[in-house]
Amino acid sequence: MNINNEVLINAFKEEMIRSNNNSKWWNDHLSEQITSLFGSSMESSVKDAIYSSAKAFIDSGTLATSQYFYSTKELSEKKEIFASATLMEKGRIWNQVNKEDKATLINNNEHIGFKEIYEILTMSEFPYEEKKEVANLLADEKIRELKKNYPDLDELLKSWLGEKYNQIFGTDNPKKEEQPPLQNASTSIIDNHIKNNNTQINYQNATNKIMFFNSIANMKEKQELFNKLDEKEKRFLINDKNLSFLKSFYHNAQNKEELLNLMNQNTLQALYSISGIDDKEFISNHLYKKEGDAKNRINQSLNHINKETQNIENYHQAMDKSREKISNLKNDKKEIKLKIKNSEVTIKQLEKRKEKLEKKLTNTILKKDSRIAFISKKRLEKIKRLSNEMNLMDTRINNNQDRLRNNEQQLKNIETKIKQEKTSIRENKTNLSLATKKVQTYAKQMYNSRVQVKDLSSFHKELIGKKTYNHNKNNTIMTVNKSKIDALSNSQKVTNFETSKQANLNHSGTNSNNQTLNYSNKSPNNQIASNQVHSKNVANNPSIKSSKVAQNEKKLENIFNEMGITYHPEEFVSNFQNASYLPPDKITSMTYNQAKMMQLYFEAQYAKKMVEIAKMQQEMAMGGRTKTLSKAGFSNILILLLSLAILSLIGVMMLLIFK
Amino acid sequence: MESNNIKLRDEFGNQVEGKILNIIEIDDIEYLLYSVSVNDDEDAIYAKKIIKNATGEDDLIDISDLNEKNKVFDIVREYINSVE
Repeated sequence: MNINNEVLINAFKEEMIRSNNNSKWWNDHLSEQITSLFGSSMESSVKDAIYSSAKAFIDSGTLATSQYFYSTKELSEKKEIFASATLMEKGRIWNQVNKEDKATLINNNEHIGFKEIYEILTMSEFPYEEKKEVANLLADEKIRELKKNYPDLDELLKSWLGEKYNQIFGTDNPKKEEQPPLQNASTSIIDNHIKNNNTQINYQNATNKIMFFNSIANMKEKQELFNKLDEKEKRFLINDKNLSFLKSFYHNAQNKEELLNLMNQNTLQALYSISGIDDKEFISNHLYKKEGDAKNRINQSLNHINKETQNIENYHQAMDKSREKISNLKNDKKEIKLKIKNSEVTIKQLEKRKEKLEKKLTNTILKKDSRIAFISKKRLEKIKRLSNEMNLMDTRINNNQDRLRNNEQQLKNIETKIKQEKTSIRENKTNLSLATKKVQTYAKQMYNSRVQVKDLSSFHKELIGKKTYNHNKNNTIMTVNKSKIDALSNSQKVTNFETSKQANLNHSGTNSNNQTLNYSNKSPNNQIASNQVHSKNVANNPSIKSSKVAQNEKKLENIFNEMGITYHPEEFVSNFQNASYLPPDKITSMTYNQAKMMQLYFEAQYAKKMVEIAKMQQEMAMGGRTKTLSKAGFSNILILLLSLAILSLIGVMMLLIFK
Repeated sequence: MESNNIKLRDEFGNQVEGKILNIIEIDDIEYLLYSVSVNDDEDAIYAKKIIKNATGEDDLIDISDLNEKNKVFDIVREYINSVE
């Protein structure tokens, strides 16, 4: 900096301080005062240097502080400077004055009103310790008035004033015993750890928690307190209508995702509106992610539902199988019971028979003759036979008893199996019930996720609004009349344009590149660019001319131009296009040029139809189809034949007329 | 009801309102046709390429390739001329 400039700048600053005019006044009168003090003949570069330096001096707030310290001023004048200063300037002055002056300044109603004190005590820009100092310097009467006018300050005053608060308002404070050490005015120096713990306690004890939270100026302290709170408290704080702290709090937060998850839509909307581009993008991405998560949950629920539905089907099948088994086992049971009954009857019969045989044998053995110890041979054989029969009876009885036992065992087994199957049915019924409940739960989850996706999607769209696209005027394709715009916007989506080289379609003998355009109108599906762009769906089949036809028409236009005729063949020919199709009197009344125009027009029509027919033929050949010509095909051929006939007629007429 | 307009910003940062006219598909690529008012009588017609963005949604971009641009512009001119 030029030394002379520096001298002048310092002189001007001194004058600013000495003048006792506030920053606003100097801002308004700066240029005028520079000219007034240094004269109009001063070099503009020097003036500019003084101006920029003085402006910086004002903007920094140093002017107000320096003015306050200007030694020639009385305290009353100092107060005036303080009174006219902005809140931020007051803050700077505050840091420079002694405690007595502070007390004088803060308690003078003329220089600082209740509202300003309230703002100082609640503004997040002012540090906690300064607020505490201000509160402790306030006169008792002022504190009473503040508490009365601003009840939300009560808790803060308690924490700042400590014992002084009890002295002013009496000892009926129920939380007196619980007051943390911070509330004692004597503990002004505390380490951060204790301070943070106390901040949390003070927060918990605060009547107006929002106000207390807002009043914490130190962002780190604020974040630490926030992190210690439970989710409910966090939601409560973050979604409060008083959002003065939100922007900076969110901007400085380490875990922004957590904050965004805690926010309701109103808060998100408010935050989005006050955020910068980066934060906006982050919020938008967060919403996309949330929407994506909800969509994933829908898919997961759907998978679960499919799985459980399959399980339900399996349980039903298993139960049906068990029922069928039980039915079969019951049949078996019946059969075995019958067998058992039969065996029992057989055994009874055999036992009866055995009994008879025993009697018979006994009788045979104990016959009178036996007493004389003589047994005839015949009788002996009978005894032997009866004994054998007896043995046979025994064997048969034993066999039947074995069978009976087996059948009884089988019966028991069947009953066990029936029991097992019944147990299986009961289990499957329980599983079925559980699976049904699960399906209901997943269906509910899926529904909720769908609602969430819908809500999020519409909220997101509402939040970010329509996307703006870059627009370059140099990319204009063409300019058209507004009336045509309606026709364009009312036409269907045009699909399947394919550009391909088709060498066989050169009917005019020109050497153009024969690019042919095919198109068709499909059912419209016009959604574009995520909720931003839509096209109307109006049934309208726009025709399109191939480049070949366009070339022919261009050629025609050139011919007309050479002839000095303005090219409006369609307009001209339309006069002749009626049902009678060129009556002889109209042709005879034509001039040569008009007749030539007609001829060229129909030549062009001929070429056009030839292109269309060739295209159709090629399409049919490429598609491998053997279908008959459509109505359009017939009409094209008819028009072609008519054109040929008209051409011949015109040729003959012209010969007749001009011979 | 969805809007039929498109928000645009020109090279000078001015907001411009465009009217969506149609979607045209050329060689399996979709292009959006839109118009911007030039004066009381005329509108200028433009085209943007429709692409899928990272989130799978449709987005609009300028046609950067000169050959593609010429091809699309020629077809669009021809198509517009054909519409009565």
